[in-house]
Amino acid sequence: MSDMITEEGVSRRSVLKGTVAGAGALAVGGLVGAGTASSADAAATKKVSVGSNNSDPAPRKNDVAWVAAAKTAGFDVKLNIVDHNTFQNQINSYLQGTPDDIFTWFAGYRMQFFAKKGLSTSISDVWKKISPNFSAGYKNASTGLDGKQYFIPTTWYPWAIMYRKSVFAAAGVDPKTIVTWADFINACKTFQSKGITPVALGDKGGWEAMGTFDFINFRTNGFKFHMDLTAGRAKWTDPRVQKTFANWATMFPYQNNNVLDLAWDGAAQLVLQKKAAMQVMGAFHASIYTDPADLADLALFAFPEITAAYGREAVEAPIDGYMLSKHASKNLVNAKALAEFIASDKFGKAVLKVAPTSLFANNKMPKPTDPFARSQVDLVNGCKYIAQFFDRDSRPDFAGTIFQSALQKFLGGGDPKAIATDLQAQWDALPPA
Amino acid sequence: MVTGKSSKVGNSIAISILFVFSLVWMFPIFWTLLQSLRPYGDVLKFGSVSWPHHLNLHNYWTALVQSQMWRYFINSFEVAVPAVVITLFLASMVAFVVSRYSFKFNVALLMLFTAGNLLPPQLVFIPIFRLYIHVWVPNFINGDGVLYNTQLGLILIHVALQMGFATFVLSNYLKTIPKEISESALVDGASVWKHYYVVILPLLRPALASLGVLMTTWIYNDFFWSVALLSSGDKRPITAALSNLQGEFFTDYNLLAAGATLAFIPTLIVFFTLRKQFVSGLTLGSTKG
Repeated sequence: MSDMITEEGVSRRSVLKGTVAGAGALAVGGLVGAGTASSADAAATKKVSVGSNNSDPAPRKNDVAWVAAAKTAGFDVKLNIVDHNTFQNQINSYLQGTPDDIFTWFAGYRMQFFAKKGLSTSISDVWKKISPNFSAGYKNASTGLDGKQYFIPTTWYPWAIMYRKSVFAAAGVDPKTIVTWADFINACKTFQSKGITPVALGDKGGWEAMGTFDFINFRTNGFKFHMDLTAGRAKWTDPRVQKTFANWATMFPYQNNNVLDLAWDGAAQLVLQKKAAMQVMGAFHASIYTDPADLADLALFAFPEITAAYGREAVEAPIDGYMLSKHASKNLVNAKALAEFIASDKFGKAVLKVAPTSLFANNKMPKPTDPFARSQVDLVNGCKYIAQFFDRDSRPDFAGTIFQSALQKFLGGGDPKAIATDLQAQWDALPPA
Repeated sequence: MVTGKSSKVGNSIAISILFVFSLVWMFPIFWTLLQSLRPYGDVLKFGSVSWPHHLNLHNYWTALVQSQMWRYFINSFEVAVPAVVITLFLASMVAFVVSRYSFKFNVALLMLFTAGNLLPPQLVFIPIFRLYIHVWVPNFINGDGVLYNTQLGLILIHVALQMGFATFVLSNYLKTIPKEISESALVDGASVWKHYYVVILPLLRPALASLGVLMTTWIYNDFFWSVALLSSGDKRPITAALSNLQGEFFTDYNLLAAGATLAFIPTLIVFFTLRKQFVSGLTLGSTKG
C-alpha cells in the first residue's frame, strides 16, 4: 500500500499500451455484442444500471455529471440512488435480491466480504487494461482474498486532526510542533488553560470514535497489529489492546464531557464555533463549513506519534469506488465496459468539474489546486501504510453493532479489560465469514 | 354543598393534569414545526435551543421541490389506495362467508385469518424476502422478472397482513346485523353473489368507511416493508424516502423536520375529513363479538 497515492509519472509507452488495450476491449465488446439478438441496440447504447449511495446533494451532482459523460461515450446509465445509510444497512438483502449491475462500495475488508460470498463479479480482465491508471497500492486495495480484482477505486479522503488556524494562533500553539504524544498533551493543556475544549469528540452514532481508536491503536502497536486485530488474526485479549485503551484514556480529561450525546457534526460544530480546538475526523469535517471565510481557516495535521518505532507512518484514508454485482452476469459486456469507463480519467474529469476538491485514485488526474485538498494529498503521500477505517477493515457484523457499543461503553467510563474480554467473546461467537 | 365543592376541586385537578399531558404531547409537534421553519444557518449560529431569528418556508420548498418529495407522495398513494381497496374487498367477502354460512371450518377459518395478525413482520421478513426474489412476474411489471422490488409486491404484502384484522372486524360487525335480512334475501331467491353484492355490501358501508380510514393511515405510515421489499430509491413511499433528507455524514435536521411535517399532513387530512368514521372505527365490533 506504500505507493498508493504517489502520483508517479506516466511513461509514453504505458499510455500507448493503455490505448491499445482500450481499443482491443472495444473490438471484443463489438464481437460479443454481434452475437446477441439485439446487436444493433447494443452497439448504439450500452444499457447499464448503477446503484448509488450518493444521496447527499454534492455527491449526487457528481453522479449526474459522470452519468452525462458516460452518455456521450455511448452508455445509457440507469441511476438508482438510495440514501446513504439505508443503502449500507440494506446491502446484504440488496445484493441477494435484484441488485443493479454496478454499485457504489468501499475498498478493503468490506469489499472482500461480499466478494468471498460470491455476491460480486470479478473484474480481473478489466484490471489488465486499466492497471496503468492506478498505483500498485490501489490494485491491492481492489483485490479479493482469492487474488482476483473486484473493485474500481474512484475517490478517497483522509482522516487527520482538524483545527482552525485562528484558534491555534490565538492560543499560541504551532501545529507543526505537535509531533509526539507529549507535545499533543501539552497543547491540550494550553487550550484547556485558555478555556477552550482541547479535543471535540462525538460518538452518538457509534462509528465516529473508531477513527480515534484506529489512530491510537496503530500509533501504539504498529500497522500490522492493527490490521491483524481488525481482521481477527490477533486477539482482543492481547495486552497490546490494553495499551491502546490506556493511551486513549490519557486523552479523556481533554475531551468534551458529552461525547455520547453528540454526533460527529455536533462535535465538529464545537470546532467551527471555536469552542473546541481540534477534532480527529475525516476530511468531510469541512462539509459543515458553509461560510468560505471559515473554510479558509480550516486546516489539518497528522495524528501525533505514540511509539517512536512506528512514528507517523500510517494514516486512515478510505477509498470509495464501484463493484459489479453478481446480477451483472446477465449484462456482463456492458457492465465491464462501464467499469472501464469509471476507471478512466473521463470519469474523473466529469466529477472534477462539479466537485473541484475531490481527490482521485486515478493517476492520470491533475493534482488538486485547493490548499486544503493539497494538504490532504501531502499528508497521505508521507505515509507508508494506509488503513481504510475500522468498519471497512473489519467484518461488517462485528464493526456494526458489537464494536460500536463497546467503544461507547469505553467512552462512558467502562472497564477496558472487561470490554476487551467481551469483544473477543463476541468475535468468537460470530458465524464463520 | 361539600360534595359539590370537592367535585369542583377534583375537576380542576383533572383539567390541570390533562393540560400538562396535552403539553407533553403537543411539545414534539410544536418543536418540529418550529425547527422546520428555521433555516439551518440560524441554528448553527445561535444553537438549536435559542430564540429564532429567522423564520421562513424555505425548508419546505427545499424538501418538496429540490428533494422531489412530491414524487414519493405519489408512490405512497399508488401503494396505499389499491392495497386498501383490495383488502376491504377480499375481507368483506371472507367476513360474509364466515358470518352468514355455517360449515365445518367456519370458526377455524376466522381464527386462521386472525392468527396471521399475531405474527410480527420482523419474524416473517426473511422468508418473504426469499419468496419474493423467486416469484415470477411478467417483464412489463418488473424488468428483473421477480416480485421483489415492485410496488405490486408491496401492495400484496399489505393486503396479506391487513386482511386478518379487516376480516375480524367486518365479521363482528356483520354479526350485529339481523340474520333475518339474509334469510329474506335467500327466500327471495338471491344467489350467493347477489346476496353479498346487493344485500350485505351496502350494509357494511359504515364499517368499510372506518376500516378504510384506519388502513389508509396504517399502510401510508408503513416503513418496514417498503424498506425491506424495495431496492430502487425512486419506487419508495414517502416514509422511507424521508431518509433521503438525511446525509451520509451531515443531516440538516431543520430540513428533515420540514419533510416530516409534510409527510404527516395527508394523515391529518384523512383524519379530520373522516373523523366520525375514525372514532366509530375504533369502537367497531366492540358491542358484540
